[in-house]
Amino acid sequence: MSRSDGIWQEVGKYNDRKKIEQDITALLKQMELFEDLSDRDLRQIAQIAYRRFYAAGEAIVIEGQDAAGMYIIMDGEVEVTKELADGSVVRLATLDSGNFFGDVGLIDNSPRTATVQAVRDSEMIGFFRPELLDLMDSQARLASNLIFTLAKIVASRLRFTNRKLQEAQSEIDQLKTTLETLQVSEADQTKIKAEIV
Amino acid sequence: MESQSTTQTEVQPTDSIEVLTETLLPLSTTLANISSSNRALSRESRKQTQGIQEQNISLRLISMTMMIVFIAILASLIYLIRDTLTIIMISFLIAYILAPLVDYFEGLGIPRSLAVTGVTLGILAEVVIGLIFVVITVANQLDQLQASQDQAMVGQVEQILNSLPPVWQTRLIELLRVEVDASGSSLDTQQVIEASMKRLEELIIGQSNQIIGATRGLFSAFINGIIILFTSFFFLSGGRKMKKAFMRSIPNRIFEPILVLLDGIDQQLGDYLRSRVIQTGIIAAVCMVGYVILGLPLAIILGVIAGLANLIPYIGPFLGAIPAIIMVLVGSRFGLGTSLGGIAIITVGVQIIDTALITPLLIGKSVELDPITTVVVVLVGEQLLGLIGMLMAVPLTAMLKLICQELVTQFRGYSRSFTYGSS
Repeated sequence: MSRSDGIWQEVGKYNDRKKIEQDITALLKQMELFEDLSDRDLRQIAQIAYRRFYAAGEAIVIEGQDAAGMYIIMDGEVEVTKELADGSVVRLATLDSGNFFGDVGLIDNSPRTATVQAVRDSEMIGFFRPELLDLMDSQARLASNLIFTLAKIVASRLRFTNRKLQEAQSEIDQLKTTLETLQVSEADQTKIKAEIV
Repeated sequence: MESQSTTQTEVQPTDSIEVLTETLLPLSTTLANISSSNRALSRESRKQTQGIQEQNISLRLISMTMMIVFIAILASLIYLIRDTLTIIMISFLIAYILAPLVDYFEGLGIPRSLAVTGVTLGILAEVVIGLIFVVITVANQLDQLQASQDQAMVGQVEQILNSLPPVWQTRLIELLRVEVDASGSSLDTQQVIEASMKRLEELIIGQSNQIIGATRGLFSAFINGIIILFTSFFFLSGGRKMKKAFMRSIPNRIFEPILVLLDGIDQQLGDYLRSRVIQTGIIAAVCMVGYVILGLPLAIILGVIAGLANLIPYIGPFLGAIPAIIMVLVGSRFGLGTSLGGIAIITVGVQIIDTALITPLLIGKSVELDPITTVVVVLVGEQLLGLIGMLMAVPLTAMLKLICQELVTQFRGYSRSFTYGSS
């Protein structure tokens, strides 16, 4: 049985809500993601966060499942994998403490695009859309700050993807040119051979 | 090669048949044996299957019986603690309806605890002011009615007494234990009325037990009101913490689906309850205006009753009109026929507005209940909790329907994604 399966164990272990919120606030403070937010804002964000434990090998998010929010790795290591059309699974990345994933899930509920699994026993902080929407109702300024931060992350990811796409495009162009050169030289060789014969 | 071909040519056809017969006979015997053992096995397996099926049927019967017993025990428990459950349910509904108001104040920068306290005290103040207003209005109206009816009654009593034969007048005096002076040959009306009042006092003393019972009922209602207010306060202030504590106990593999499910239920229920409150408010207001125009006494209270009664489908609007009809008999600006016609127009008009505008715009079709379900749940509600049960039956059933719809939607999504994810 995984650590998270024990209902009473969980309830008993984390009944000190204030302590949990303090821990989460301290971790958020260290993250570049939340550097623009004040201590008060961080405390309020900590109130909507969930602290979750995952045993080694346990799935945190499953590819294809409707997304509900994002996770920050408080302690531990996770592996991001993707299933290809032929059924094979490729490893996309390994993330450790301080990293985060699933941030798009905080904005919309489209299906997860990859599976994330704990490599070793890991501790996560989860932020979920329902709580964010509640926050927008009650703390509009804070929620807009948080969404702006998320937008910055998404924008930086988009820039990264664009750069990668450009690199891939230029590689394809180079390969095309090489292929064309090779095809030309092959044609030349055939022509020369024909002339010799 | 040559020797082999010679040997082959030497083999006779009769020999081949013999060889074939020798080979085939044991084979056919073996096949026959296999076939018979297969038949035996199949018979055996049929018997076993039958046995398993019988066992399955008995297991199903046992599990069904256990389920029925469990449901019966649960239903009895619910029935036993129905009063407490009603209080919790009402508090929960009040908290649900007030939550957006608390969120709004919180959004203005007021701490949640302060916002909850403010909203609860505000509601308490409104209820107290409302009650005071109702009591004063009812008392005034009753005084007015009493005064007008007293005068009318004195006149009527005088008329009746004077028309009676002298013998009957004497009997009536004896009956009312009025001490009439010996010389008094005619009946003093004032004395008769005083005597009647005396009898009335005796009657009141005789009914004191009933009055004590009613007071006890009022006191109990007051205490319940205070408990509901406090419970609503705790639901409002601690709702988020309760949700977090509950979510902490959910296993990782179903954490996200449960969170999304709860959010879906929360949204749907919140929207539905708030819509019903707005609907009740609009109907109460329209009826109130109509009753004021008709000049009915206690028009505000009659409007509120009509609005609340509208929660009971089909018969609700007509039940809501009954108090207004009674009030027409007491007093109205217009004649009896005109006033009754006016009430009919108001009731039907409000129904048309509700059916054509309010329900489609606010509530939507997703929570519509079919007529049979509606009638059954209203009857069950009436049987369990009386008038409150009738009022709460349809909203509670609609809430249950919404929860089931959300459960099915989420379960479908979850199972689809799980299949996709693990394929």
